[in-house]
Amino acid sequence: MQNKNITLNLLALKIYLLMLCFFPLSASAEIRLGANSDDAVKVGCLFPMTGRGGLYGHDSQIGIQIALEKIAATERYPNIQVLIEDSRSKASRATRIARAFVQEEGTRFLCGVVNSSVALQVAQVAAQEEVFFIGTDHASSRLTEPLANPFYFRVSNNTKQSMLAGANYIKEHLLPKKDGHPIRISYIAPDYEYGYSVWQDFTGALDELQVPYQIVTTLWPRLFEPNYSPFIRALMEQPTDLIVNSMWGGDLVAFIQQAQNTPLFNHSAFANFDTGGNYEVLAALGDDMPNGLIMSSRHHTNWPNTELNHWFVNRFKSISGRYPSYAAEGAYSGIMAIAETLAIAGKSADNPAIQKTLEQLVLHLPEDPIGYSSFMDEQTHQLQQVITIGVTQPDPSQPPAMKLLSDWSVYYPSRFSPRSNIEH
Amino acid sequence: MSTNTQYKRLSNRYLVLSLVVALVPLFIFTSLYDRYFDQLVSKITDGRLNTQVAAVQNEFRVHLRERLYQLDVLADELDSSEIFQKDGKHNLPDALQALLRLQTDPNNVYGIAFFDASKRFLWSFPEHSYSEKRYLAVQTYQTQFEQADLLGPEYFSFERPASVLLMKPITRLSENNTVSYLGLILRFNSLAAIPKSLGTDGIFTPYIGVPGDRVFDIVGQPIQDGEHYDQSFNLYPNWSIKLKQNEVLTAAPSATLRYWLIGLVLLTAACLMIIHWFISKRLNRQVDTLIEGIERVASGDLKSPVPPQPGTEVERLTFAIEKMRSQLNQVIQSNVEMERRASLGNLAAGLAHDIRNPLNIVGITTKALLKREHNDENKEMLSMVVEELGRVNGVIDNLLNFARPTPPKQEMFLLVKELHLVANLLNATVHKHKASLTIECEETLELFADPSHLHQVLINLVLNAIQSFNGIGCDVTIRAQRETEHLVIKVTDNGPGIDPTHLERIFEPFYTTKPTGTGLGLAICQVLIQANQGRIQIHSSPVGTTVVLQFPIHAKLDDTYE
Repeated sequence: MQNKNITLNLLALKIYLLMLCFFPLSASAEIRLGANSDDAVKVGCLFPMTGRGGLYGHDSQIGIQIALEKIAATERYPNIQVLIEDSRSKASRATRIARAFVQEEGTRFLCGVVNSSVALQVAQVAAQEEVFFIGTDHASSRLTEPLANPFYFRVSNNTKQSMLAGANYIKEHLLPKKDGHPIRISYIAPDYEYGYSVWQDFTGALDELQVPYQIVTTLWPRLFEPNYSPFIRALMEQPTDLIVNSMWGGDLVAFIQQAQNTPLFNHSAFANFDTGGNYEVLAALGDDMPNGLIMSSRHHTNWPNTELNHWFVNRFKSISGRYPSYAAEGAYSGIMAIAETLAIAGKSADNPAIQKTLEQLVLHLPEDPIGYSSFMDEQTHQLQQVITIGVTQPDPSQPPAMKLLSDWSVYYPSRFSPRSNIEH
Repeated sequence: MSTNTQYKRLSNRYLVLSLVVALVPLFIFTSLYDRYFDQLVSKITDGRLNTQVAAVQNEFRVHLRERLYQLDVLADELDSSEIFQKDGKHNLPDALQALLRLQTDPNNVYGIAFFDASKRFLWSFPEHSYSEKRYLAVQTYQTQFEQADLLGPEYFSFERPASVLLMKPITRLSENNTVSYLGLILRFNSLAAIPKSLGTDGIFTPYIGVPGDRVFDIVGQPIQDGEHYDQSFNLYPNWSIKLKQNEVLTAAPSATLRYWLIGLVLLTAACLMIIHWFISKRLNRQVDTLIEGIERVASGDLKSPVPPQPGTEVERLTFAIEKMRSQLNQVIQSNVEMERRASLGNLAAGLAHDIRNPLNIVGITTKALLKREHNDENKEMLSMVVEELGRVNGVIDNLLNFARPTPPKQEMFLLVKELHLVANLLNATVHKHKASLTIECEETLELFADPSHLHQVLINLVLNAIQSFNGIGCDVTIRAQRETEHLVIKVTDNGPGIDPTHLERIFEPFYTTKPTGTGLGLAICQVLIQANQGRIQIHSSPVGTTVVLQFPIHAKLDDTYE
């Protein structure tokens, strides 16, 4: 009986593969935003629009919409049309869509992609097709350090930056409590490229800052794991000072919800230095979000307290009726980066000119504090931004989130501090 | 002694019997419960376990077979020698790249590895998903699974999760049956998590044993060597499921609870034995005391009371026996007294009859001589004879009164009136001895008795009091009062009291301390009071004596009628 089922599954798989070979995915995008004129520069964006990561896609779409509004209202920016397709966080689907965007729609830019493993493969397609891939929400540092792909640029913080900030935070806030003993660290991360690179970057940052540490365990639940109880049990079985978690989105929400019913958060300090403070997570957990968790995010709805950030958050809320996750600001940044590049280099500029312009790009974004603008690092093609780490505390000012981050620790990138990549 | 021994034997038997009755069901219950508990543990731990393990074993097989089918699908498509070269990735058409991506999308496959005919590593997809170094490191951990080789898992590292390589030969029909090898790089943690279901009820913690005598938990953490596992089930050669029984049932708190239960039963048994022992001891002591009392009575000592044992199990029995002894004593005393009185009466009556007639003749004769006698000196002498004859008659009257008292003519009368009458009668004597007599009595107090008997008794008692007082100033008080069920008349003096040795015998007839007394005064008082259903008691101390007369209160006819 079982063999019969497997045979049927196999047959279906073969039919599906044949269909893929003979009927490649249509390039007619699900969503088209922005200018519809012939002279518009086309940008193909890939976001998960369904499943656990679906919210990232929808928020990115609104972020893009806000960026296009700004572009349309600014004379120096060219017309831009953005095509959005659901990648479903699958590399096979994303690479096919990317290729179709370039070959059938003639896009010069690809943008988006939430999953780092998918981004690695989309970046390869971009290089093969010689189009620029502006990464927004994936964070694995393997794409930029060392840079292996001249067509790849990223406009949100990567894991190396986040983890360096995290290591600084540990050195300043947690290590002094250890009285000279090494800090015991347990790590739990999704079992894919992003989880590995966060760990690598994190231990690298601790070594770089000479933070004494002892690894208790590393756990690798699969992405979209439904049941974290064995992992929570394993974390509680051994004494530890800090649990570093690098899950994101629905996985992090599910993990916190399941751990909330256990003594895990009393067992040790808990930190997520890259995405834990994402508004999506805070909103999903509401009152279930424990106090005192150390979190950060690539964009915060309540920091910095600048006019641009208020404008962005309020505009997003007026369109969608809710507060934005960091994906919105990432997608906004991606489209603004393309518009700014085209405004500087010219719409008809060749690839080397566009590459050069992107490498020297300076952008003022909602997440930039007063007196600071994000800038592209020429060597790594990684945008350099300020990273802030906060602690969850009750704050009902942005419902449905009932806890927001506060007690900020702010870390600036290296332009102002040649001694290290990040300064407080 | 023998009774006591018998009794002890009986109490011991009672102790043993009650212990048997109490403890046997308790021990049976406990042993049944313990057995039930044992069976329950076995049922939980062993009953469903085999089924669950079989399901997990099957899940392992299915998981790997699905991966084998995945390899078969790939083998069908990758039918080109160009791919199976060191730079094969550059010869991969877009459609095949798409196929490979599709095959590596599932979370439990990290990538696909390509090998030549000599099983040498060529390249992997995605690019960094495997390496020759990693491939060489797992060579020692090789197991056969159906037609494929299962290599790994890799050494544990904190850096990244371990993988397992499932490698299968593929024969390229288009190229003269050339053989190459294709491998799926599997997520080891997915395999390690398969026995997860064995631990969901909390009785066992499942582990997975892998080649190299290594053991991992279900989240892929290595377990240190030397751990003990309660059960082990084979999966494939060198692969096994290992189970460690949690302490949830075999140790605290469940096992502790079990031991507590057994301990509690033993403690209950011990407590019961101690309680029974104490009760038996106490009963023995009480019964022994009772038996001693009864034995004294049996040996003729009716005067020693059976000691009361208030608040004990034999209190009522002791009380009843004491009552019996007291009544028996009274009956015997009464009989003796009656017999004595009867004997004395007979004697007195005989004597009175024999003496009184001659005395009467002597008296009459003397009185006749007295009338004729003119000589004053002789007259006086004859008067003395008459007087002394009167005294002898009085003694004889007393003797007859004691021996055969006149039946009382009881009537209800006002006590105060009679007391004042007595006081008047005694007035001259009291005055003569410069004593005082006080009457204290409520005006309405009534007594049902023979008034003449009461007169006689009270006169006797007051005279005794005055006579006992050697000096001047004897104060005698007659106090009458109503108590709960009795009317009590107390005659109290402030004399020197009665010696305790005399007090014991004071009511005995002919017992007297006076040189001229007959020893019948108080004896007659007692007889008269008893004839009126009363009681007489004497309490004496060096500062005075109180004689207590106690009469029952009779309900008046009018009251009864009402």
